[in-house]
Amino acid sequence: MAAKWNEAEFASIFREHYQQTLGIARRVVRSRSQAEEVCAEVFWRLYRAGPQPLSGGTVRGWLFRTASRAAIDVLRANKRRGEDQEFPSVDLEDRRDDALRRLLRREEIDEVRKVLARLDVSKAQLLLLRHSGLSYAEVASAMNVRPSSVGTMLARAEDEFYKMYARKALRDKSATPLRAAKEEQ
Amino acid sequence: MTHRDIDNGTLRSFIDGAVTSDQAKSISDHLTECVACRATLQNLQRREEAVRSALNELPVSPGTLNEVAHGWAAFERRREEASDLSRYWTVAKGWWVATGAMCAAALILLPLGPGRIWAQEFLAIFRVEHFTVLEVNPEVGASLQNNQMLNQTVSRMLSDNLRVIQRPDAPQALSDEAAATQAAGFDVKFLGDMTPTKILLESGADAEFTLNRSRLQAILDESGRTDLQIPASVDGAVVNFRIAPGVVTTYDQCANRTPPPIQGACITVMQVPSPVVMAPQGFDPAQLVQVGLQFLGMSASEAASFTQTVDWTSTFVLPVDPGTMTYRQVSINGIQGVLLRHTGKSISDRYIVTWVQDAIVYVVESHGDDDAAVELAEQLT
Repeated sequence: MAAKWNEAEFASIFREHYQQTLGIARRVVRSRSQAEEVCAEVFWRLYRAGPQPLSGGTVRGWLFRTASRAAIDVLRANKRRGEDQEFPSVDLEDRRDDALRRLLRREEIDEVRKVLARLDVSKAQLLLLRHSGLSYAEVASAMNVRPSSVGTMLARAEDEFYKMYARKALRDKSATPLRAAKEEQ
Repeated sequence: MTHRDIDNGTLRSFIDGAVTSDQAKSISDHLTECVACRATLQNLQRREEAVRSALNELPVSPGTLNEVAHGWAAFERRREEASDLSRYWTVAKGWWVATGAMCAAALILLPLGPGRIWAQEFLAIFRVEHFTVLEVNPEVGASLQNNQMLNQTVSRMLSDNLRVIQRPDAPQALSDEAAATQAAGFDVKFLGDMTPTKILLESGADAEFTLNRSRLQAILDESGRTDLQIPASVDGAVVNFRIAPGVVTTYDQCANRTPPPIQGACITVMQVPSPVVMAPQGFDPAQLVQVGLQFLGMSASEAASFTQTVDWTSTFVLPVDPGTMTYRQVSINGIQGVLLRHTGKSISDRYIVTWVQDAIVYVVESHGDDDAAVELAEQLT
């Protein structure tokens, strides 16, 4: 049986890391409520694991790694069910934006997520963690790799993302009327 | 730093300023001389900018304090849900204690088959009509019990993939035999020459388990059975388990029995409608069953052979560790049943006899020899 958290200590960890964890999940899944569910699950796993040393090093690293993984799992499940389009929500758009602009933005988001869903999970996690502001040391700790390997892994992950994204953009350029409209703007 | 030291990883770290100042100076000096490295650097910078720009398209959370309060409420709900789940399993364990590892066996072995078809076309329904015993290797059981990582993986899987639709309520005391039949919804039977000291209605339960291939595979991997593979075809199948309300009757007036009762009630009778398992139409559990059997210690050929000998349409497999229990098939007024007995000296006279009649599962727990067990059971047929 795992040792139990001191409630006050756990609440303090929650307060300190929740928003950034939510930020990572929100980038990946289609709505804020889905991101909240992911985070509730991630913090529940941390609570259940107890305060023993975590495999991902720091609590922050563990939370971000677990949240990114869980969010990618949800993204892939959404994709399988054909429910991967960004849910139209007020937190996403500036209300002054016109309808076309909002549609274009959603399309862009969907494209980025499709590439993330197709990438190898660890590469997608690496990109999410680094581009969410984690330092090389924090990324290394969260991903259980040596800090000196982060640069190489990042270069490979970015290269793969870039190629997939560029290919997709090229394919969609002629296929999507919205994109044609965007080009005209 | 030489040209050979400056690879893509080093240059990528250089872009992010994740190198020491000495390294940075050395790389900068080299870049002024090396055209190829400058080209590589530019290429990496283009990719970094493109990826950053793409990821910046993704929505961000507004970052309000309200978010944390919202999130804490969601976490509390999740914690409460898990606590309910744990209560459910505690009650369910109590209810099924006499039938051993039936629930666990249901999850591992899934004794299903292309049996009856429910009126709704999308579901196949399977109902327990017989029991058969499967001897399991005790070493497998012991190593599984002591494997903390495995237990965590299993509990995580249950927590994530099991949805409780109807939680069992606390047992409800019933006044007499007529009340028991009325409350349970089937003809509850009683031992002819004894008055029950307690009649309890155990409420039903309904749970849905989503087969998650990667989680199931993780369980096999955690237990060192990386040679076994969960078939990809089962991934995502939702299997529903339903247990209808049942009745537990205890009889304490057994002082004249020989040998006398060791502790507690001397006879406990449980009666519950056959648990029902529903799976998606076309779901074929045969491969999964074979993996389960190998997991419990059988060789691949033994598992294949055992699978062929059992009617998976209606048979529930009771796993028995021959080191701690003995068993034999018995005939209860012509109905096939199983009699199980602990091998421990102090409790070796206690037995469990179980059978299925008219879609009701009967479990009698008492003490005495095999003939007394069958005689007692026959009073209920």
